[in-house]
Parts: sequence; structure tokens; C-alpha cells
Amino acid sequence: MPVNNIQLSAITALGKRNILPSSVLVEVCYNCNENCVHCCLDNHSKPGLTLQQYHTLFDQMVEAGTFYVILTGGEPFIRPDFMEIVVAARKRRLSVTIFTNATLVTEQQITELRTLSIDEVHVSIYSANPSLHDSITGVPGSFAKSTATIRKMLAAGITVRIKCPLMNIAVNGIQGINDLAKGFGVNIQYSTVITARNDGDQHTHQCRLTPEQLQRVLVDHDVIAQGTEPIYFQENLDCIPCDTVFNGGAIDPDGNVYVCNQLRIIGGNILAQPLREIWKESPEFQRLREITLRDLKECSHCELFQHCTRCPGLAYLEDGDVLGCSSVAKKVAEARRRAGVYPTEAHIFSDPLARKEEML
Amino acid sequence: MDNYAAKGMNVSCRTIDGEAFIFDQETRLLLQLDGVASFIWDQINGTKTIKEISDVCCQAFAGEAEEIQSSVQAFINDLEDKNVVVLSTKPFPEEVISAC
Repeated sequence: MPVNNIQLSAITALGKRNILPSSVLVEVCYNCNENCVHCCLDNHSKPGLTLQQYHTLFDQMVEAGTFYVILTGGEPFIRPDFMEIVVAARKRRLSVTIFTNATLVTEQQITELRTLSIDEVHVSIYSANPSLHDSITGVPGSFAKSTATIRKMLAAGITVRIKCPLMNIAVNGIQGINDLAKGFGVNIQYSTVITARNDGDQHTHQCRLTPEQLQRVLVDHDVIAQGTEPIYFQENLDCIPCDTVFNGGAIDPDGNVYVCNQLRIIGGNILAQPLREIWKESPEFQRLREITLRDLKECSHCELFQHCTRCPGLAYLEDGDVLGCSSVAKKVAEARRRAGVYPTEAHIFSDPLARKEEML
Repeated sequence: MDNYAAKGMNVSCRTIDGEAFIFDQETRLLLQLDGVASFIWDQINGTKTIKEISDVCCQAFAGEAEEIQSSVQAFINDLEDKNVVVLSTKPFPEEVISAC
């Protein structure tokens, strides 16, 4: 009886080959106790599905082949029943990661999270300067609460990661964030792109890094690893713009299903149809899966292609065309070219389906 | 053979096209089981001993009983070595059984 060990990355390959939502992000509410200047949500008044509906959703996920679930908001801990949602997911042996601002988490909840063997908790920290962080969240004292919770979680044995979207008003304090993370002994995940709101409103763009700041960040390997050589070349026109359309998944607080929370094209609603059916049969999702580089007329001839990490979701949200150029990706690509760096394999166009199959 | 077997609490399993894929959250290991191994995996529920699992397999598959028992024992030992199965001389508590 062979028991084949497979690398973790094969879960994504498995999901891609079989078209399974192997890693699904679940927005359990849009309500939030913070009011961040860069927030991508267009409203904060969606309370989410009921606990019973989440039980049903997690059953559907197991049936659909989901291994990972990311629970996020809004702020998930604003729900009085959030821990029951976590228990419901873990009872079905879903691997759970939580995105939170960590200002509402109680000591009792920390103990329960440890007992439940949560995979990771990702905490949003925008600056190591408390007053600057608080000015971004709009909540005085939020930095102190978030960092106090990180300490308690780490003491309880929970794996914590800091998430830091880089903004023009805070980017000069990167060393402070690095030192903060080092002091905690946790990993940090930076991102360079502040996205438009889900309704397309682009006022959040005022928080984005300037071209000069972006270029400076891209050459700093302590911030975001960059490649020194291009990965793929333009002759591979069959490559796929984003694997997420095969193996991702996102559920909003109303139960609508997306391939990704960035690509706001609804494939169905889990209250009306099982996730597995939506994922495999939605005409909208099937159309997205047929897209290859060949269909991206601007990309296949673009001189920035080798530097670009175009996101189909952002191209659709911010520029109105899922097949068109992503203006923000273009800006980052221009900065990469000036800096002489390339995307890493982790975030570039991926192999066509047939070649990925050979990995298993 | 008298030990009870239960799936580990940090293990998730999904059946895809008749084959089981087991993911261990702690080690980040993904295991792929073939059809027979998947059948045995399904029998591991915290209430059966390895002997009882072997008996079910003897009824389900053709072959010498001794050989099947030996294969089942070796397979479950392998899973225990990989920390995806836990063994106990006593029946597992209800919370472990319900999670299997």
C-alpha cells in the first residue's frame, strides 16, 4: 500500500489539476471596529451568515475538496459567535488561518485558539510608531491593543504573522516594523499595492507608495524578495494568468462565491447551490479558466511583461477589463525594471494545466 | 493488533476521484493513498482496533488473512510514524471519535 509523500505546494497543484477550491477565504462579516484609511471594503454593515449557515458552508467545503480556510472580515472577532465558527471549521478538520486586527481578542479566546490548533493568526500592523498606526486605523490605542494581543498569542504558542501593506505615510518606518517583528520572533508579510475599494472607488490610492518609494522598497531584499532573472518568456502564450481561478475561492458575508476576493465576479451563492457545483460549473468561472496569456493582447506584447505581476482581479476592479492591462501592476513593473529586478516564481504567470499535472 | 486507531486531530483528509489525500497541518505533509489504503483509512475511526480493521479488510479483499493482517498492521504503523494516526490501548474519548 503506497503512501506517497507530496510536498505542500502539491496541494495547490492538486487543486489546479482537479479544479478544487483547495484554499478558500471566508469573509465572516464586513463590520469592523477600526476605520482604516486604505480599507478595500465599500461598507461595514454586513453581519455575515448565521452560525448554522457556516456549518453548512464548511460541510460543502469538505465535499468540494477544501483543505485551508482563511477567516477574515471586516474584523472577525467583532462577531460574538466567531469562536463557534472557528470550532465548526476545525471540527471538519479544515486548516484555519485568521486575519484580524487583534484588538478584540480576549485571553479566553487565545486559550481556545491554541486548543483548536489554529494554523496561523495574521495581525495587521501598519507602523511601529503607535501614533502613526493609530492614525491609519482611526482608533487611538489600537497599536497597543494589537501588539499586546500578539505577545499573548505567542506566549500561548500560537503562530503569528504580521501583515503590513506599505503606505506612503509609513514606508520610511520599515526598519521599525522589521525590528518589531524580530523582537516578537514572527514573520512579516509586506505588500506594495493598496487596492481600490470593492465598489471601484479609488480614493484609497492616495495611500499608495510613490514611484520612488516603490523602487526603493523593491531593491530591499529584507522587505519583499525579488528575482534577479526573468522566469518565463513571452513565447509561452498558453500560460495561465492566475492559478486562483482553479484552486482558490472566496465567500463574502452574503454567501456569494468568487474565485478570489480580489476578482469580484460572482459565480453563485452557497445558500442556493453547493460550493462544489458553483466551483466546477459556474459559467463565469469556466470563462475565467479559459483565459491564457494569448488572450491578454496588451500583455503578450508588453515590454514590461517580464517584470510584471499582473492580477486579473485588480485589472478588472481598477481598470474595468479582466483581459486588459492592470495600471497598478504596470507601475510596479516599471519600478522593477528601473530597479533591475524581476518577480519571483511565486507570483508570476503559471504553467498551463498539462504541465502542472506532471508534477504529481 | 489490539490497539485502537484514530486519525490525528491536525489531519485533514479529502477524497478526490476515489483516492484519499491526507494533509498534516503540523508537518505540512500531504500524503496520497491509493484505493486500498483509502479503504483502510476510512475504517480508522477511533472505535476499531487494528485487528477489527484487518477483519473488515479480509472481508472486503481477496487474499490470505495473515497477509492482509500483516499489511494492515504495517500500513497503520507507517501512518503512526508519520504522526497522522494515533494508537491507544483503550477506546478513544468521544471528541476524538466524532472528529474521525
